[in-house]
Amino acid sequence: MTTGKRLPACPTELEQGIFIAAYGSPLQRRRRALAVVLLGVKHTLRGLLFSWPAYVLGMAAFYSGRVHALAYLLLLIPALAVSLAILARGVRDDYRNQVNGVLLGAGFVRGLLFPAAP
Amino acid sequence: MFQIRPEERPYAWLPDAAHPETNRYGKPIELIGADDPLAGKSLRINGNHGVGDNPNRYKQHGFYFNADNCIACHACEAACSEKNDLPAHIAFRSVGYLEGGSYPSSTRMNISMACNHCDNPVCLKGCPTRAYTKFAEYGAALQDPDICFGCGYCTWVCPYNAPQLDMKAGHVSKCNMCVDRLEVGLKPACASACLAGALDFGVIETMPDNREMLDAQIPGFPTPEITHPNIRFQQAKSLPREMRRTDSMPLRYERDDATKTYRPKVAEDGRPRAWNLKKLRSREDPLVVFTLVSQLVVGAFLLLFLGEKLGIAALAPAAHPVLHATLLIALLGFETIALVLSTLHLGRPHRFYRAFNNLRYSPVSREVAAIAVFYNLLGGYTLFTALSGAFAWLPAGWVQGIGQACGWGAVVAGPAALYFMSRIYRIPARPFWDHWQVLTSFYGNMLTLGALAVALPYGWMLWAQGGSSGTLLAPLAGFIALGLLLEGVGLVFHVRHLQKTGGEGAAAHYLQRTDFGYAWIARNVGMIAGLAGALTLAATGFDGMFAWSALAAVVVASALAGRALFYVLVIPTTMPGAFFWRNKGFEEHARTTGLANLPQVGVLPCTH
Repeated sequence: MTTGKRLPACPTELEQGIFIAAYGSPLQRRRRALAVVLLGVKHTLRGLLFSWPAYVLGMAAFYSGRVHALAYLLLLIPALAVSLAILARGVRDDYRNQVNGVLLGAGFVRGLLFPAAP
Repeated sequence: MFQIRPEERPYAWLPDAAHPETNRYGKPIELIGADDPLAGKSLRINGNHGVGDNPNRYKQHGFYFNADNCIACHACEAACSEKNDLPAHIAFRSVGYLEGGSYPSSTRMNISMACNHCDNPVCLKGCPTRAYTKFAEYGAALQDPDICFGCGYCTWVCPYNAPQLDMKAGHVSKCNMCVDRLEVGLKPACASACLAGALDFGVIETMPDNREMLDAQIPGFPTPEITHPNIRFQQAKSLPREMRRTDSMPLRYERDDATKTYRPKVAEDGRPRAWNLKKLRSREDPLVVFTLVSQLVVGAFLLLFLGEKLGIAALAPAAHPVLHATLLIALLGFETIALVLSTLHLGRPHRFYRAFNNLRYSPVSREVAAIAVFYNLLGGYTLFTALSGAFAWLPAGWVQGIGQACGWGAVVAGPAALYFMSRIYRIPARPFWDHWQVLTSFYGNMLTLGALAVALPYGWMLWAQGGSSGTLLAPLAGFIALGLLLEGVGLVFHVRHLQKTGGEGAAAHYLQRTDFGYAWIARNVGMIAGLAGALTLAATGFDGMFAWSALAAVVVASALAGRALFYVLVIPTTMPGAFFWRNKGFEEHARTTGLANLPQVGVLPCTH
């Protein structure tokens, strides 16, 4: 069974059966779990590159008095919620496109972190 | 490869006609030579690695539209939608109408229009994600919806309304020239489906059989000089001197006897002046907030950083360290909110990082990059000045040096970001925006809102402490007056320019004077009152904070109204719409009455 293949690409019932067996194997499960972690790290780092100044608000809240801290946290919390929502959507999208329903080969990490242009 | 039907009719096949070497704009029709590395490569349509055997594969192709024959049956639209499996609210091709004369000698001219796969594809240059590619194969300008993140900028820059922003799917898609059909020698689905012999397709500058004209323009078609579109026309039947649109745009087309072309003019219909405050809300609301807040933050930061150097001693960080630090952190918070709003404005916010993909051509990419640099530098400056206590483990000189370096970087990046922001709106296909007034307005707001954002907290704090703030507030009032003056001068020249040039820009100004007339007047009165107030405060050094708060309310309300008008008024140089389809008036009606809830109406109930 070729890695990188999806179930609909298997023309015969025999191939589909082999695909399902391979997809549920412990190795493939471990690779999918690793893929989720890697995608999370990748999207978090990419997001941080642009959003880290927002977290200065958290630092400011830590270093300032109670009233100021509340104001900073009020500004920070929506930003944090939105950035987490964007992060989750990015991870989910990439998981759906690159991981879910695919047999992951040995070099899948490179493909996940540096995908070829569509 | 595309499956050819056994009963395919002769008219569906592409002709192999002789053509000139170059098109009317001087560009070679043969796009690449036989020995070019691009030659013989597969287009990999739907994963198929086959290479088509069309002998004219590397020649620029285009549509041919015979307006004399079009009966507006919409078969081309239907064929396109079926071929591309489009939802009801999206159409890559659409038929619009122009009417002229009066009963019984009234005339209607129908225009079927899709993407013209231009020689100068402004969509490709404008797209920040590089979702567009101009292919050597057939000269097709193709767009990849998987790369697109749904900012919709291509829909702004295209003069023909070809790219379609699907609010539901969160991305743009457009005519793909049916390249799969071309690969096997068939015309696109729309041209093959035309009942009346109006729509045809082939190598550009070749004339279909039994046709006599190869024009680049017909009435209602935007000037081809913007993009050099690959479409040619026949329109031989005589038309009245004046043609009117059937959609809700206040535009008509008048024949210029010298050039024999039709030019867009304002169709003044005596509509009354109104407020229409509710209609000031639009899909671009997040951009209203994003642009204004970014301008405020840049202006306020410049004052906080340069204030002491400009002689305003009270703005020195050491003069009021707590307030200075608090303001910097608050500015960071406001810019965060602005950036979040602009990101959520995208169809696919989680793909925001693709905005940097086209720094070479796209003003959107440059603006986003410059704003990101400013935001990061502002964050750095805030961190190393307002929260310098967190870096006690670093040598003091380092903390101050890094902070100053970030500050000076932000001083350059902020105004540069606003400049790139203004470049986004210099779009020939949107004449109302295409004027230097955008820049004066953005810089004007930077001065006005920035000075207010500094003046109010400082003024109220000093008032609470019982001190005098006149020496601080007077120069800030001067900045406010300067900003309002800059914006006002730009607006005066803008209106004069619109009245002089006519067309879609003047039509937008007509809407400004009528549908939004009272809102426009109120904004102008607010600006004048704000200018008078700011000049008075600057001259007298008056530090009454209730007067300052009133000035702020007037100036902010004017800025909000002005920016909302800027977005809702623009009339693009698009093709005329029909009675229902591609008619903004009908879309509004459908949303108000609930018709839009029926999917077959083809209008999405919500545009946000």
